[in-house]
Amino acid sequence: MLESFYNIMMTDWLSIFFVALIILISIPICLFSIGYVKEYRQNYSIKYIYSMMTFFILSMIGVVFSNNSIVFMIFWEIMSMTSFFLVIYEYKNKENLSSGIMYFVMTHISGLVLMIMFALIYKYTNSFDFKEIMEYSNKFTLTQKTIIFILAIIGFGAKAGLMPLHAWLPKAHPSAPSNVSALMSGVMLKVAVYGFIRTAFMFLGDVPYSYGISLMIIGTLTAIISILNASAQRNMKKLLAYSSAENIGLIFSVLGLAIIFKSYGLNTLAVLALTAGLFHAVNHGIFKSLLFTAAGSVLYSTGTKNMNELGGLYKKMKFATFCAFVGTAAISAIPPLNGFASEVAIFMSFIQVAGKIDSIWMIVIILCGSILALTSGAVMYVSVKSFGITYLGEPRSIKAQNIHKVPISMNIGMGLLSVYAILFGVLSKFIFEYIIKISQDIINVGNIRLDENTLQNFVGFDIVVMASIIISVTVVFLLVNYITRKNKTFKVYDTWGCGFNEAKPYMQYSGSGFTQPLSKIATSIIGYKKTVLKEETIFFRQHTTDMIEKYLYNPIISLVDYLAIKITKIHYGQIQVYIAYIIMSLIIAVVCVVKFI
Amino acid sequence: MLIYIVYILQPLLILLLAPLFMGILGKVKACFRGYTGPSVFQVYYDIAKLMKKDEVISKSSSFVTTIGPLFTLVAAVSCTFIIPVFYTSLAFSFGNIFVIIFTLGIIKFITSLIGLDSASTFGGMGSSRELFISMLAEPIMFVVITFLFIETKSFNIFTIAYANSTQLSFGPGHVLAALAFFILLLAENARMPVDNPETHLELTMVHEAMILDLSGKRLAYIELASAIKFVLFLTILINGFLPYGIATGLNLLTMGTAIILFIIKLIGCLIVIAVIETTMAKFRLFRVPELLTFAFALGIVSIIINHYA
Repeated sequence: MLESFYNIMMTDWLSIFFVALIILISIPICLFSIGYVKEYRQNYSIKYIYSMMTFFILSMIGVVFSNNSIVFMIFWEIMSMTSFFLVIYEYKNKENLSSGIMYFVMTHISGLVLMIMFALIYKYTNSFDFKEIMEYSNKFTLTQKTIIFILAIIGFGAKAGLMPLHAWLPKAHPSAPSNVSALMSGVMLKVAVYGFIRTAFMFLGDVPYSYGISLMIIGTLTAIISILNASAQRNMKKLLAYSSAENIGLIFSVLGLAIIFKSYGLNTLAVLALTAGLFHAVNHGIFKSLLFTAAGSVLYSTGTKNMNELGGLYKKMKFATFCAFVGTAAISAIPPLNGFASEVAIFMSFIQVAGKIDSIWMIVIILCGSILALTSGAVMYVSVKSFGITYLGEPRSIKAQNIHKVPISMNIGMGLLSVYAILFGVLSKFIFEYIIKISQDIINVGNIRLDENTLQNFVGFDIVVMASIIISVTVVFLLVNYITRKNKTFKVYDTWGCGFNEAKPYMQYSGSGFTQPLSKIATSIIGYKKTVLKEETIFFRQHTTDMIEKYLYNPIISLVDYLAIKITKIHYGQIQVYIAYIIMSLIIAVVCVVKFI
Repeated sequence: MLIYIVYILQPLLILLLAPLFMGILGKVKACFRGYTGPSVFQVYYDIAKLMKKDEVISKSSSFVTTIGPLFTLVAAVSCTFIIPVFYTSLAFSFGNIFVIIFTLGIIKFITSLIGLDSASTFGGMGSSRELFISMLAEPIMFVVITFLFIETKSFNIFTIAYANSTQLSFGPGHVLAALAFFILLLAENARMPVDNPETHLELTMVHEAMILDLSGKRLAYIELASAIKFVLFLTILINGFLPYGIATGLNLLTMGTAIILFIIKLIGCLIVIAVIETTMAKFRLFRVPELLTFAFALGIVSIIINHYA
C-alpha cells in the first residue's frame, strides 16, 4: 500500500522540505483564521472561505508531491483557482473584483507558459514522469535548455512575483482577507520557488553560467525596485505585498548565484548559495505570514489599512504589538532572529565569489550583492516605518482609538509564528545542517566530499554563539537591573514638546513623511510626485506610481481593450455563428498541435 | 590560563575605556577650538549622574522605550566578546564580521523605534533620517567586507586581524578600503559631516532627535551603547586594516605592548576625527548620499585594484 504511494508521489528531499514548509506555516495561519473570519460572518459565507482554504492548502501540497507533469499542472491550476476565489472573497467591493481579475489573468499567463514548458519537455523527452525527466536531464541540447529555462522563469516567476510580472502582488494582497494574504505570500510564492528549483536545477542538470547571471540580475532588480515601491506605500498590506516581491527577488538572485557556481564547478559554494536561498524561503514564509497576520489583526480591530490613520495601537493590543515587533525585527535582519540568519548566509554566499570566477563576472556579482545590501538597509527603513507608524506613538484618527478586541485564536496563531521566528534564528545551525543535505541532493554532488573548511566558516555556528552571548548578557543585565531597582521607577508625563504645549497626534511623523527622503532620491524609479493645492486651506499631497505598471501594463491593457472593441463587430448574437467560430478555432488548434508535435 | 584572562580582559578593556575615549575626543576638539574643555573623565561623570537621576517617561511610550534601551546596551556589550582588541589567533572559531555588524544594527533599530515611540515630531524626523543614512551605508559595509575577504579569505575578524598583522606590505586598495570604512564609521556613528553629535538644534540633529524624550538610567544606557558602538567600529578599523603590533602569542610582554599600541592607534584615529569635526560643517541631508556614494566607489575601486594587482 505505502509503496504504491511512493510510486505516485515525489518523495525526494526537495519535495519533503517544501511540504514541511507548507504545513509548518499553514497551521498557525489556520489557527489565526478561526478568529479572523468572524469579521465576515454578517456579509459573507464562512463555509466558503474554510472550504476554499482547505482546497488551497491541499492543492499546494499536491503540487509539491506530484511526480508527473500532468498531475502537477492539475494541482497547479486548482491552486490558482482556489486562490483566485479567495482573493475575490469580499466580492461586494468592486475594487476587489478588478484586482481579482488582474490576478486571474496573471496566474493564467503563468499556467499557460508552464503548460507550454511541460509540453516541450514531453516533446524532447517523451515522458511526463519527473524521475524519467530528471534522468534524461543532461541529454537536452543547449537550445532546448534555453527555451525551457526562459519559460520556467516566466511561468514560475509570474506566480512568484518576479519583475516585471509582479504587478498582481500589490493588487491581490490588499484585496484578499489577511489570512489568505498570509497563505499566498508565505506559502504559495514558495511553491513557485519549488517549481523553479525543480525545473532549473533538477530537470535541466548543468546549465551555462549566463543563465545564472541573467536570473541573478532579474532577481536583484526585482528586489531593489520592489522595496523602493514598498517604501512609498501607506496601505499596510500593499507595503507587505511589495516586500514579498522583494524577498522573492532575493531568493531568485541567490538561486541564480547557485547556478553560476554550479556551472563553474564550485559545488561547495553552489550548495551554500542554494542553502541560503532555501533557508530564506522558509524564513520569508514565517516572518511574512507573521506580518500579514499582524496586519490582519490591525484591520480586524480598526477597520483600516491606511497606516496614516493608525498609531498607538500597542495600548489596546499589547500581544499583537509584541508579535508584530518580532516580525519586524526578523524582517529587518536583527540577530538572533531568523531573517538575520538567512540574510547573512546570502551575503556570505555572494562574497565567496571573490577570486574564484573570471574578473568581469566577479565584479557584476559583487555589484549585485551590494545592491542587495542596499535593499536590506531599505527593508529596515520600510519595516520600521510600518511598525512604528502603526503601533507606536499616538492614535492619528478616531479609527485607531475605538478598537475591537482581538479573539484569542488570532493571538495564538501570531504567537506561534513569533516562536518560529525566534527558534529558526537561534537554532539556525541545526537547520542549516539539514538544508545543506537537501541542497547536496539538488545540486547532485552525490558522495563528493564538500570543502569542510568552507562549511565550517558558514554562518550557523556564529549565530548560535552570538545568540547565547546575547541571551546570557540580557539575563545578567536584567538581574542587575532587578537588584538595583528603586521603589519609584519612573514618572509618566507628556512628551517634551520643546516648550510647545499644544502637540497634537496629527503632528507626528506620518508614514508618507517618514520615507520621503528615500522617495525623493528615487523619484524616477517610483514615479514620486508632490503637489501643493491652495484652496481654502493649503493641501500637500504626494503620490507614487508603479512605473512598470504604467509603462508596460497600461499600453497592453489599452491595446487589448481597443482590439476587443474592434472584435465586437463579429458578434452577431446568433448561436449558429458562434458554433462556427468554435469549430474553426478547434480546427486551427488541432492543426497547430499536429504541426507542433 | 592566560587565554581566559584574554577572554575577560578584551571585552573589559572596551567596556571600561569607551567613555574615556569619548572624553578624549571631546578634549582634543576643545584643544583645537582653543578652550580648556571638560575633563577627559567627564563622560563617566555624566553617566554616573544619569544613573542616579529620576526618570520621566512619555505617556505615549510603549515597551520599546521601557525595555529597549537595555537591549541596545546588551547588543553593544555582546559584541565586545567576539572582537579582537589586543590579542588574536587562528584558534577563535567565532567572530564573524557580519554577525558583529548586524548585532550593532540592533542599536540602530531600537533607537529609531524609540524615536517614533514618544509621538514627538523630532523623534520621527530623527529616526527617518537615521534609517535613510544607514540604508545608504549598507552597500559600503558589503564592499569593505568583500575587500577584507579577498585579502584574507576569511569572514572571521580574528583571522582577518591575524592575517593582516603578519602581512608585510599592502596594496593601494587597502588604503582605499580603509578610507571607505572610515566614512562608513562616521555615518554609522552620527559623526560630523553626517550628523553633529554636539547640537540640539531641531533641524540638524539625527541621533539626538531620537533619544530626545529619554532621561535618567535609560538615557545612560543608550549613551553608553553608542560610545561602545563607536569604539567597536574603531576597533574593527584598527584591527582589520592596521593590526601591526597586535599580540599573536600568549605572552605578557607582547600583550602589554599590544594594549599600549592599540590605545595609541585609537587615540590617533580620534585625533583624525577631531580634526574632521572641527574643520568641516555638517552636510545637508541630501548631500550625504553623495558622500556615501563616494565611499562606495572607493570600496569598489579597492576591490578592482586588489584583483588586478
